[in-house]
Amino acid sequence: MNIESAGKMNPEEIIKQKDEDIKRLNESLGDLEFYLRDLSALIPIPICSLSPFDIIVDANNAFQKISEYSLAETTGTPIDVLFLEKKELKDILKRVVIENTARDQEVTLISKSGRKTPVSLSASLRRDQEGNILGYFLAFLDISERKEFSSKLELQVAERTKELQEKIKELEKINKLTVGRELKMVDLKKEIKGLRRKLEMQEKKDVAINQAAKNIAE
Amino acid sequence: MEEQLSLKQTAEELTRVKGNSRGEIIRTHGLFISYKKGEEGLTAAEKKMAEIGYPLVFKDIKPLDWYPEALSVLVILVSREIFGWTEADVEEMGNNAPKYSLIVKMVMKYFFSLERCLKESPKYWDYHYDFGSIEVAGFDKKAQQVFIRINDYKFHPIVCVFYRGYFKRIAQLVISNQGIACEEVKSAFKGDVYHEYRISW
Repeated sequence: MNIESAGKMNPEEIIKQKDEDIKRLNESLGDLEFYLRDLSALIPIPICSLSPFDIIVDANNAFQKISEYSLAETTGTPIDVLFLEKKELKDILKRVVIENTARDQEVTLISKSGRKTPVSLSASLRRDQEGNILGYFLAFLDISERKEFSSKLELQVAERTKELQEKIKELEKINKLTVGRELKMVDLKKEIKGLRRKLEMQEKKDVAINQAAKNIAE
Repeated sequence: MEEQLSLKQTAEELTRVKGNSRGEIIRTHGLFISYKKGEEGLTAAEKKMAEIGYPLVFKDIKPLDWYPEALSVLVILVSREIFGWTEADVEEMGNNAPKYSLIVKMVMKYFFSLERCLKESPKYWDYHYDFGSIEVAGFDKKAQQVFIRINDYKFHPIVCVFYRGYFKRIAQLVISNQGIACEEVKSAFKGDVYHEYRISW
């Protein structure tokens, strides 16, 4: 309804027109809600929103799946109930109030059955136009596979390091033996050289004695 | 058969009381029935509503359209009858309603403090109903209690139980304290002029 056409309408028509406008807006709002609900259901990343008092007010399907709690069970629950590191989580949210966001914070989500899932938490602050804090949006990435891979890798590295250390020890042992043998050979060579020198001197002496004896005999 | 007739009579009496509420209230009733009793429960409730002459299909309810409040109250009464629900179940139904409500999500912007929530409560009521009103009859932060008054609501006493759970949940969303209690201290069904709830924590 524009101002021009509104000017030509009688009060009853204006009321009727406004009612229709409200109805249309309500329908659009309803459609928007369905759209958001469908979109949120499709997103495979667990997402939830919190009140300023850290209470869960909404969660998508992925969050319900990873936590094993239905929406009715999680809504109204303080968020720290679902996490192992309660103090760390509080600290993260405190930081979000100052910095507006937090990225890739590692925490452990405890599901309804007690299963512990390491997750990477990202959070952002919600404020209204006047700057009042309305709560937080939290998103979680399941990093259990990454963690498992990382711990396997660490284990493999540790095993390889141990193997290498053993090999180094063996090499050191061999090296010691080789060096020992080399030194022994050097000593032996020196000894041989000394003996050879002694032998030569002895031979020289013998030649001199023989020569002297020969001279005496003549 | 006698019980069914009685429910039908109650329904007829209820529909004589004027007043509409948003479809979202009926939709959240449906979600709670589905949560507690599954799809079969939902079908059973729809069947019973049809049997007593007030057919409704939960999935066709439009959240922001106006429906007679009588219909919303009837869904609670039908659920109580067919599932054998106790007062505690109805209170739980009320306690769960804000969890699913689109309207609650829309007005969540008022929930950043108790003071703001109380200030905006008349607006909150108008989002849901085209009759009656809500007002804060008393707020004592030191004594940790709030008195909420509902004027001109006189459909059925079952709703008093439902509201007990409902207000408790709203308080749980705005008060950082899990030890919250809610009791009805005055009731229009017990000779008082209005309904009054005391929320304490």
